[in-house]
Amino acid sequence: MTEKTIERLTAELKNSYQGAVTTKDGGSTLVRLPEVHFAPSCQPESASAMVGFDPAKPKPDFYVKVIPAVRGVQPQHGNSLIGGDNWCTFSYNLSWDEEHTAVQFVEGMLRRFA
Amino acid sequence: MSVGVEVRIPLHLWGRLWDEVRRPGPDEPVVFGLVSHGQTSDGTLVLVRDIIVPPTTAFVRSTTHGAKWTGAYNISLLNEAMEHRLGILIFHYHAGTDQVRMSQDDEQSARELLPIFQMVAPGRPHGSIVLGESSASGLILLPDASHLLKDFRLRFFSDAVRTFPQTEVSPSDLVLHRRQPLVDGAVTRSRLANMVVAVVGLSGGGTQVATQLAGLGIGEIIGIDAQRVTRDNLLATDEFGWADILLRRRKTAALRSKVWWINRQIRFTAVDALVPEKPAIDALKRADLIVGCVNNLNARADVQEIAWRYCIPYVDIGLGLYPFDPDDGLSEIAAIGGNVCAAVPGGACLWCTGFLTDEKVQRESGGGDRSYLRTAIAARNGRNSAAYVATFNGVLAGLAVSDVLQLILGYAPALAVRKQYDALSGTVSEVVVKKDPQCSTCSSVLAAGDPLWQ
Repeated sequence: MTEKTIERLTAELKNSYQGAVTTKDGGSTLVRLPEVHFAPSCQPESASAMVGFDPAKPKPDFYVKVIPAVRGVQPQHGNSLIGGDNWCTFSYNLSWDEEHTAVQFVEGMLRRFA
Repeated sequence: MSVGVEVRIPLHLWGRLWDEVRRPGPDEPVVFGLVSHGQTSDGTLVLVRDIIVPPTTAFVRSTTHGAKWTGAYNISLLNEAMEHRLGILIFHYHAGTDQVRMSQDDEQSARELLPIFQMVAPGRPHGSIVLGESSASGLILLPDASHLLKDFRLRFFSDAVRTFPQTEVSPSDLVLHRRQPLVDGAVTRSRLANMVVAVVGLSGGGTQVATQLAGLGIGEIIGIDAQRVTRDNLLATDEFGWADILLRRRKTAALRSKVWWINRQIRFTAVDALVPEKPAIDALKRADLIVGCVNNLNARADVQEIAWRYCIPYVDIGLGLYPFDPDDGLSEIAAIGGNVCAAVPGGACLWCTGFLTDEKVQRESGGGDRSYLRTAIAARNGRNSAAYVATFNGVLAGLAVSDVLQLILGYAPALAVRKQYDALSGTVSEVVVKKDPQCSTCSSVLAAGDPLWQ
């Protein structure tokens, strides 16, 4: 992913999610989204999320603060250290490329919990 | 043992900084530090990420004490700081062995410059520090603060951890400590009692590390482990007993009792969490030293990152039993080996030494991402039978605590970064390792502090 694409996607996230903030951490650009909403069957219904852009990777990385229970069952997940903080990671093979928008990426990843 | 404000200077920058501020010349030498910062539960860490030695053309002649530099140089310095979202520390040096102090000119200049720096780069700390042979003094302006702080500690790393101000002791105590640092004296006792050491992973190695630290009189031991004591643990350490299993005690609780029996003056802080869960991260951030005794590379990578991000020395131990055929549960054992790595901020890290690689870390989680790690480790542990390794863990624990002692007291001329233990021959050998100039962890994470969100 080029720096120009990362800039475009970062700006899009900041415009689309109220209160979104960004930082550079090492070679990556991180965008923290204060609140994203899970599907109605999830508990909790929302959480903060993080999108990580690494120029060496074709797709962004996606993390949430809390993994929701979907109809009472918590999906398999892991913990990652991102920007010095703990974020939950989960596996979901979303078909996404740079032609798509950043919002499509975030909302697409959240479908894992639908 | 509250930190308040502490400035930390990594090993690779300290040597150059110390040489440059003392360089003889027509002007008083000044060196600039670019700094990030990190917030802990008991203070603020100001972390020197890089240093800039200004060219002689940057200076202008002055009739007052101290150095003055051009406005153009000031602007280029601020641009550099803004580009990297960092603050600025001004370092200079005063000769003499007594407690150094800022001169009136130094103070006046700091009071004029630091608010300007803050206006341009408000998210990071700024400051002016005078270094002496055995002391430091200065003024620090924290983000969002309007008054300058005089009370701070300065810590730099060499073969040992050095902190200014030093404990006030009698000259005879100081001489005793310089000549015989391991002998029980006021300086040695105070240095040990003022340290906070975090032990991550309280199984075979970690428990023996913690009890040895207690024996030394370390001020606070932070024990981090989320598990309860199991029967297998009894084969890996002599620090747990049958009652711990019967009562289904948490490892942290069992160890807290053990530490209390050894030295009830020691504060033992139990953190029932796994790295990188938030309670574990918060606890590690306020440690002066970390000893990692974890059983997987992903956790090592996390501990290494926290240690580097906040400039905390990290001693890592690990033991392995290696069968000829890993897929055959009845295969003969080919080797029993262990490692002790002592990573000092600014020196070689576990990635520099090749102990950690992307390939190894990914392989450990079954080739997938972190969401598969717990399953992969549980499967690996399920394949391995418990073994009588308490004594081998004891050797590694002893070596690790010796490194901790070296870092606190500096009793040996140098710190061996990596030691390899061969349990079959009973030998320990030093492995020469060098800092990798291309290491991405060192270049991107070292002294990075908390990210600055905008």
